[in-house]
Amino acid sequence: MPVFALRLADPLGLPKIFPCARPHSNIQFNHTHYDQCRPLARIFSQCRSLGFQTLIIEKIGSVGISKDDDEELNKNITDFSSPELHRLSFFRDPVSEHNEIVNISTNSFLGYAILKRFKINNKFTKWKVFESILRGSGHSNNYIHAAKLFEVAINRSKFKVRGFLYSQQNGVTNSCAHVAIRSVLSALLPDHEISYKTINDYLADKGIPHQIIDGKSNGLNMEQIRSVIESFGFSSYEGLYNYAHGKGPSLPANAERFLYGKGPNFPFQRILYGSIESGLPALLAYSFQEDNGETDGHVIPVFGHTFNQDMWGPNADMSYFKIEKDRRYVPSESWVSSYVGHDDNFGSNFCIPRRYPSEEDVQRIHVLGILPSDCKCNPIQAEAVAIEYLYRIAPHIVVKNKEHSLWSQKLKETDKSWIVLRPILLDATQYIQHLKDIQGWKSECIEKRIITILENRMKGKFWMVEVSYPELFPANRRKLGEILLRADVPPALPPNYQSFFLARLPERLYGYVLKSEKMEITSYLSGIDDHVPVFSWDKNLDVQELRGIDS
Amino acid sequence: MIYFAVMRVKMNPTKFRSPLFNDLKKAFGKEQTQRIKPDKSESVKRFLESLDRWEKEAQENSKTQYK
Repeated sequence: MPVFALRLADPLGLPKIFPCARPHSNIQFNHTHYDQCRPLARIFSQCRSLGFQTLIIEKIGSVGISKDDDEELNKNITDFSSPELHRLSFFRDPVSEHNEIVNISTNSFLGYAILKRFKINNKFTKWKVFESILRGSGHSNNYIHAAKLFEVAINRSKFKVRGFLYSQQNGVTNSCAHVAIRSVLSALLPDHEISYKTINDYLADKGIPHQIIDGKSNGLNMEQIRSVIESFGFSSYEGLYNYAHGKGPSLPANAERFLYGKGPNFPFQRILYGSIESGLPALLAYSFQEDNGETDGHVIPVFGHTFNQDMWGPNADMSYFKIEKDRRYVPSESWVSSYVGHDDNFGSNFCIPRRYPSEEDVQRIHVLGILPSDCKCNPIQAEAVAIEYLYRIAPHIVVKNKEHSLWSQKLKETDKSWIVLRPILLDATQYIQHLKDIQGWKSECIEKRIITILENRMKGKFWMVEVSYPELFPANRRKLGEILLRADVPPALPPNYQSFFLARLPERLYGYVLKSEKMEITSYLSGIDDHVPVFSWDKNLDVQELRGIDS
Repeated sequence: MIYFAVMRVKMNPTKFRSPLFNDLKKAFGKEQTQRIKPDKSESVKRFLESLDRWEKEAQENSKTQYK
C-alpha cells in the first residue's frame, strides 16, 4: 500500500509568508524560531545561494510516516506527546499574499523542509529536520544522476523539485543508518517513501533487530543496512578498508580490527562512483576513535559528484590502475574532484573531497554500492572484464589506412596507450537510443541496419564500459567506443564468453564467432569512424530545471 | 547426461554464433574473421578472485554500529 507523503499533506491553517531578501537574516530567523537547528542553517544557506526571496511556513499534521514515527517513539519514550510539524518552502519569487501562491511558477520553487519536534515529560525537544529536498547548487560541474523529481503541495498548490531526500535522525527510534537508508530508498522506490517503522519491523522479523539502549538508538551495522536495502529488490557490492594496522599502541585493544586484511587495492571512492555514475546512490560508512577511546561509526548517503575537466592529478601521478603489469587503464573516476552527499548531523548536499576521509582520519571505511537486483556483475568487475576484452581485441583491430585510421591505430597499441574506462549500467533501450543519438567528429552516424538488428536482439541490462583517452575524455567528453557486457550474468573471462556482447570501436563492431571449433574475431563497419560524445544522463532531463536556471 | 547429449546436437559448435552476429552476417553479407591471437594473461582472473575475497571479508566484518 502506498505510504502517504508528508510533502503532500494539507496545511492545518493559513500559511505564514516571510520575505527573505536582504536585510532578512536567516541566522536570526533560525535562532528565533527553530532552536538554531544546524541542518536548517545549512538549508537556509543553500536557499540563499539559490537566490530565494520568500519563505512560506505551514503547520501540518503528523500523518503518514511521521505518524509511524510517533507510534515507535510512544513505545520507547515515557510521556511522549504533542508532535508538531512545520513545512517550510522556499521560492525565488517575491510573494506577499496567500492567493499569489497558486500562481507561482514551479521554476521559482527551490525546495522544502519539514521540521518536527515533540514533547517528552511535557517539555518540547529541539526542532529536527524530518525531511527536506532542495535543488542542486546549479554549478555546471555538479552531476547528481540519482536525484529524482518529487511533487510537493504548498497551500494545496502542486510544485515539483528535483533533488535527493535529506533527513535527520531522532537518535531514539532511528539513527544515521536509518536516515541514510531512507534517503537512498526514496530515490529508488517508485513512491519515494519508506518509514523508519518499516525498517525496524523488517529487521525485527529478520532476527537482527534495531536496538535501543538506555533510550538511545544503537544504530545499525552494515549487515542490517544491506539486508534492508536488498529486501526492497536491490543488490549491493561492498568494500571494507582497514586503516587501523600500524596505529597499534595508541588504539584501545580491539581484536576485531585486526582480523582481516587491509582491503581492496583501489581507492574506496571507486565503489561509490560505480553506482553513482549509473544513476544509483551509494553509502559511505566510517569508524573513528572518540576522545574517550571508544570507537564510533557514522554512515552517510552519497549520490553525486563534481567533475573537473582540468584536473592535474591523472596526468601528474600517472594514475593508472594496474590490475597487474600487463593490464592497466585510467578509471574515469580520476577526474572527480568531490562527491556529493548528505550528513544528517550537518545538512544536505555537501561536497566531500575525493580523497576524504583519509586513512589518517579514520580506522575503517566500509562502502556499499547499490545496483538493481538482476545485476550479477558490479562496475569494478565490469571494468576489469572490459579491459581484458580490449587487450584481446586490440591486436585484431583493422587498420586499412594508417593516416585515416589514427584512432584505430592508437587503440591497436592499447598496451602502450593511456586508456580511460567509464562503466555505466544501461538497459538495452537506453543503449540503442545512445547509438541513435551519437555522431562522429565528421557528423557520421551508426548504420541503420545495426540499429534495427540491435532492436531485435538486445534485451536486459548491460554494462557499457566506455573507452576513451585522456586527450578526449575530460575536456571534450568524447570517447572512441565501448565494450558492452551483459550485466545479468556473473563476470566471465575467455574462454568463457558469456559476459561479452559486443565491442564498438572506431570504424567497426567487433564480436566473437565459433568456426571449426575455434573462436574467431569478426567485425563489421559501423558507420562511425572516430570519436563520439560520452553517454550523458542529463540529456533526457530539463537542463534548466536541473541546474536551477530561469527560463 | 542425456540433457548434455541433446545440447551438443542442437549447438553444433562449428555452426554456432551469437544471434546478434548471425543477424549482422545476414545483413552485411560475407564476413571477415581472424583467428584469435593467443593471450595467456591471468591478471584479470586473479583480480576478480581477489575482489570476491575482499567482498566476503567485508560481509563477514559488518558488525560496527553506525549511529
